[in-house]
Order: sequence, then C-alpha cells, then structure tokens
Amino acid sequence: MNHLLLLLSRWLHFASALLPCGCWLLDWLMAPPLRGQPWSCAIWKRLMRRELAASLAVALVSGGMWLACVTVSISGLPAEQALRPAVLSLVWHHTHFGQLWQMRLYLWLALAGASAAALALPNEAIRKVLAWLALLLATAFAGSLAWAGHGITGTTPAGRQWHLAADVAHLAVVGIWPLGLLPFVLALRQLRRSAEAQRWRVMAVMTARFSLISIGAVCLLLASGIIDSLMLVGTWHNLLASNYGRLLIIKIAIFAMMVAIGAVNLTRLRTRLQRAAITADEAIYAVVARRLQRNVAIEIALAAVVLGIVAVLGVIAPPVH
Amino acid sequence: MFSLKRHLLAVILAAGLGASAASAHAFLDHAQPRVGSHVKVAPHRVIIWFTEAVEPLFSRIQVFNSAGQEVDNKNTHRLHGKKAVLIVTVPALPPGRYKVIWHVVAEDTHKTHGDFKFWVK
Repeated sequence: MNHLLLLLSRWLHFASALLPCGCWLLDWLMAPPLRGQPWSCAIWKRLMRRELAASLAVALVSGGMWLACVTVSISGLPAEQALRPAVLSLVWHHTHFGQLWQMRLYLWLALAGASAAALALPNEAIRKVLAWLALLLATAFAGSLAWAGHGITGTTPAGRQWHLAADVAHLAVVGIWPLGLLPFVLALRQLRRSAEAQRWRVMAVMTARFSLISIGAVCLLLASGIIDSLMLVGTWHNLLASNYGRLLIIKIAIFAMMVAIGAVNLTRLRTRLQRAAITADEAIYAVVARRLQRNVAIEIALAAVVLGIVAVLGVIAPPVH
Repeated sequence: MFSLKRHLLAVILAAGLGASAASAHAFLDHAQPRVGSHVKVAPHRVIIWFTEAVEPLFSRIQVFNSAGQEVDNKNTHRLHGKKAVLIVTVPALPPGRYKVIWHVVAEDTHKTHGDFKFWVK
C-alpha cells in the first residue's frame, strides 16, 4: 500500500513540480503575441493563474505525501507509528531527503510569492523582473528533484557533476515539453472560443513559436538523456536484459509516438494554420485548430503515461547498480 | 547503411528517454574483514564501504556468531567524514564463523540489504 502511495505521490509531484517551470518558460518564449492585445493578454494571464495555482497546490500536497511515504519506508515502522512527530522530525532534520525537502519548501514559498506578484501587478517593468525571478525559482524547484533521484549517483566526482547537470537540465526542459503542452492546449481552446477577429492570427503565431520551442526542447532532452543513459543503463545488454531496461524501452516507444505526433503538428497543421492566416478562411481555421487541439491532447495523455513510468523507474535499481 | 541509421536512431531515442527518476541504491563495495575471509587476529570492528552515501540513522550492521547470537555492540555509525562508510564495533571475538547482515538506506531513501561471512582462526 505504501509502495503504491509512494508511486502515486512521485507521479503527481513530478508533473506538478515541473509544470511551473514550463509555464514561466512559455510566458517568456511563446506568450509575447498573446500579451500583445488586452483580450488575449487577459486569456493568458487567466490561464497562468489557474495553471500555477493548481500545480503549486498539487506539488505541495504530493510533496507531503512523498515525505510521509519515505518516512514509513525508511523507518520500517507501521504507518501509525512512523508518522508521529518524533519520527517525521528525525527524517526532516537528519536525512539528506529531509534537508532537501526543507530547501524545496522554501523554494516553493518563494515561487508562489513571485508568481502571484508577477501576475497581479499591472506595471510591465516590474512584472518582467518578477517573471524572470519566478522562472529562476521554478527552474530551481524543478531541478532540485535531481538531488532526490539518480542525479546524485556517479562513479567519480566528475561523473556525478555531469549527471547532476544533465538531470537538472532534463527536468527543467520536461516542464516545457511535453508538460508545456498543457498550457498550450488550454490557450488554443480559449482562443478558439474567443469571438475576437484576431484570434486565428494570434493562434498561428503562438503555434509557430511553440513548435520552435518544442524542437529545441526535444534536442535538449536528447542531449541530457545521452548522459543519463550512459550513467544508468550503460550497455545494450543492460537495456534489453533488465526490468529497468525493458520499462525504459516502453518509455522510448511512447516518446517516439509523441515525437511523431509533434512532427505532424509541426509539418502539416502549423503550415495549414499559417496558410489559413493569409487567406483568412474561417472554416479551415476551425478544422485545423480542432485537429491541433486533439493531437496535443493525445500527446498530453501519452506524457502522463511517461511520467507514470518515470515514477516506477525511480524505485527500480538501474542495471549499472 | 540502413543498419547504421537504425542503430543511430535507436541510440538517440534511448538517450532521449533515458533520463528518468531512477535512483541510487547503496550496495556493498568492500568490507573489513573482507567478505569470506579467514582472519588470524580478531577484528575490533566491522567496516563496510558502500557504493553510495547512506543514512546512518536508518542503517544497521549486525554481526552474528555461528550460534545465531548477535555479538556486535549495536552502535552502527558513519566513519567520520565518509558518507558511504559504516562501522559497528565488536567485542573480542573468539575463533569461529561470523555472519554480517547489513540493512542500509541510501541518501535518496532507497533501501538495500545483504550479508556476508568471515572466519576468525
């Protein structure tokens, strides 16, 4: 039971802790066309508020669940005894995990404050500064998960540093793709529902920007993944012969499907959306936008499965161990 | 050429999805007395070097004699300044076979355990 709760809390925490990083990266890289006009700016701000509030709330609850599950697991006591203040305090103050969670709680508080201020203040100059601060804190909050996992392993100190760096980069990038697909698809939906004449043009520009960001994110995921694979799997035999490796293959297959769907969005739908922007054909716009929204929804569902696999992989010994 | 391309694609895909939240597991690297060794002088302590840093508060080394009685001083602690090394002291051990059982929690909270034997001549 504790094992299942641990997997659930890890799954929820990974998704919710990485999303704020994706939101603030998209705010910087994708949202400028949305912020160009008052009506679309209002849509984006509303989305950001909802996404950040929900993800930060889930991150807090799932982080607490994770801590509780870890306390039960490492103390070896029944839950009712392990979750007493004395045992929790021991884990909180005297273990690497507890100290990491303390630091992450401070980061969470700072991120929540910076995010709320950035979205509430009307002054654009101050908003920009706070948005950068929020992005920095969100990246630290997401990247700090590396210290809770395999990022702290490595056969040499230099190997450990490379592994940690790759892990932090990987976690931050996952926030933008595939998790950034969630704010992207919600923005698409809001734009489709809007009655504004400019909505299709804004959608076309936003989609073009997101496509470019996605390509960059996939490249970074590949680069950081190369280091991680070398550290954890090592050989083809390990990949094929171990439970860890087999699960990783399933993850790879799902990743390939997500990249294929992303490629269709990039090569076909984005182009059709841009063509429709020239002809201003409402009917084509509506059809393409609906397909794009459907494809992205499928990608998000697959991303949820991948995160579930990540949660399970985290409790299996990698072959190199 | 096709095979090379296929392999390159597989490597790239494996790398791309290789990163995950898998974690460190601490396993025995080496020990003193050595695993399976026969020692002439009875040791005063058993030291185990692990492959990863461990949490001393939730880790334990036990030493049992051939009758199955625990003979260590139940004071497992970390070697000063060494996060991956645990020690337990033992009283003067008479000749015989001893079994060391270890249960450890790595810094990333993963639990592992194992055992080995040594003989005092």
